[in-house]
Amino acid sequence: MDQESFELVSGLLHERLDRIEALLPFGAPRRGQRLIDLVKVVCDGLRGEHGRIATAFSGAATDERRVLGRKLTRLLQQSHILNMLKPYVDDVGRRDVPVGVWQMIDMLVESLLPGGADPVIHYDDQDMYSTADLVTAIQGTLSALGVTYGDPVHPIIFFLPGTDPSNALLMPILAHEVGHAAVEDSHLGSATLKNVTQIEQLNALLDECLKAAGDPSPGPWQFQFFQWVDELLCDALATVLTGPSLLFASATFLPAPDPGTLGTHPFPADRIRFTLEQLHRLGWTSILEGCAPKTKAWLERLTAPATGEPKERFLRGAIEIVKPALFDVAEHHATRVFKPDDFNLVSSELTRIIEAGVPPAQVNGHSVDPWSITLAGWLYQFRVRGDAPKTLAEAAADRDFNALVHKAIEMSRIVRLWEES
Amino acid sequence: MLDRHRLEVAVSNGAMGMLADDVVVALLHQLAEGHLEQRDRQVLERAREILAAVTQLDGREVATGSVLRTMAPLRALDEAFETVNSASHGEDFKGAITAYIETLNSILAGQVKETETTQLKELFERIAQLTFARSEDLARPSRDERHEWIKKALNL
Repeated sequence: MDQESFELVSGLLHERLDRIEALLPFGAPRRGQRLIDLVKVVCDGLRGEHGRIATAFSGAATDERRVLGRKLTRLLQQSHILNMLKPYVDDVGRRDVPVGVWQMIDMLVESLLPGGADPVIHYDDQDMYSTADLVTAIQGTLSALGVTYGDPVHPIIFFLPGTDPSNALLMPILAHEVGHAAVEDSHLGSATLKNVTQIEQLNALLDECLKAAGDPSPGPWQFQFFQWVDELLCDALATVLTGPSLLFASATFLPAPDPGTLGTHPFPADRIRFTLEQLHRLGWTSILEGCAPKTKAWLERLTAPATGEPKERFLRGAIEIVKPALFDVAEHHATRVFKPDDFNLVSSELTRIIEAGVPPAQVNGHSVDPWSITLAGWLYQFRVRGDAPKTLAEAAADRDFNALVHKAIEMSRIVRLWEES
Repeated sequence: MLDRHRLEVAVSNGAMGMLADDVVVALLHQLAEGHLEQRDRQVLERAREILAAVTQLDGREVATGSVLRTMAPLRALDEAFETVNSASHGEDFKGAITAYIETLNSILAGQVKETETTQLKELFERIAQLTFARSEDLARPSRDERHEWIKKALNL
């Protein structure tokens, strides 16, 4: 790249960064402010790296100038990452989100992200729950630019289904999604694999399946295995936190009978089976068998189609081997564990109040855990609509009932904050 | 919804590309001047880490301690592996990467072999070109994304 071209690209880069910064909202800090701070860190990083390239370029030989010119153009391309973040910058400080949604998200953050988070809520046009820890997502760019986002509290985008953002019975799915931020921040995938006791068995399975497949490159297999471990970790974290409500929400949202494909996620039936096994380990079986035995039995009967492909055999066999370590890591990571004994203390009273059509904010004069309210809601639905899989869909679709559960969670949280103050 | 996959690929690809450019510059310094600057050393050490993690991932044992596994997000792992794999096309992958790691070790220890250093430079030049071509596509904003900015600009 010659000097004139270098100056042109430099000018474009600075103009683009100036324009982006001029469009950022300003004023008093508000919820989600850290997203704006992050955008500024990236802008500063790009400018700093440009300065280093410009210094090196001035004294470089022709061959080196060619490489530095290419790197400068890369900076221009990397600035596009800021464009991808633009729709979420507009969500910073939004005031149209129901208080209960904020409270639910705050509780999920408290339980799964010890370092905290600065949530940005985005109503999505797809019926999808998701989260994105933006600092983690763009860590590669920050490192390459030699800058750090020093604040331990990261901006995290919470995507909620735009058509039904405050569906209380499906909220455990959001717990799974917050789990992704926890898995990435705390490297829980690595922790799981390091805790596997039958590592020789795992390696032997990989070797045997690779041979059966004609010895392809193991890299993509390992990568897919890591993806499956992460997904199951998120299910396990959500199960620890929300108990059987995750089972019911997953069975509805996936949905459980979906045969699935050999992709980034384990097969739905395998995920359901894992959740049932973890619930048994956590002591929930008798409550499930007491309140929804037929639905539980139906879920247990679901099986994922087995093609016998070596890759599928490896992935499904491998997750069985890592399962104990995976459950251990999830149970140790969550700061709150929802226990059957705690639920039993409040369940009858919760049901009685729900039955009266009143949002239960307190039981016996005390605030109630949000996941006790959610589970009481699910079990009440099985009681009135019948113990059958179709109840899952009907309960999730019942707007009025979900609004009642949501209001109960909101009011109970206010009581709790009052109790703590 | 944020195309998280595209964001992570764009980030990982860009980071890998910038590293590749830095490695090529460091090796040009080594070949022309016979020594490395401090920043060059750091860059080569990072490149060595990534190549080591890639060989681990390509092994027949599950990579429980991979450097890249702790480099969240997971997409970074996939992107780095695929890029190095593509750049090494036609070679005995694991053997070739091990040899490149040996060359990096020699350079960092001050024992430079010109032929091997040139081959290493060629590998990272290929990585730089592959990532650059890919980022051309990734960097092109979608119509929706451009519209967002235009809307904002018009409302100022």
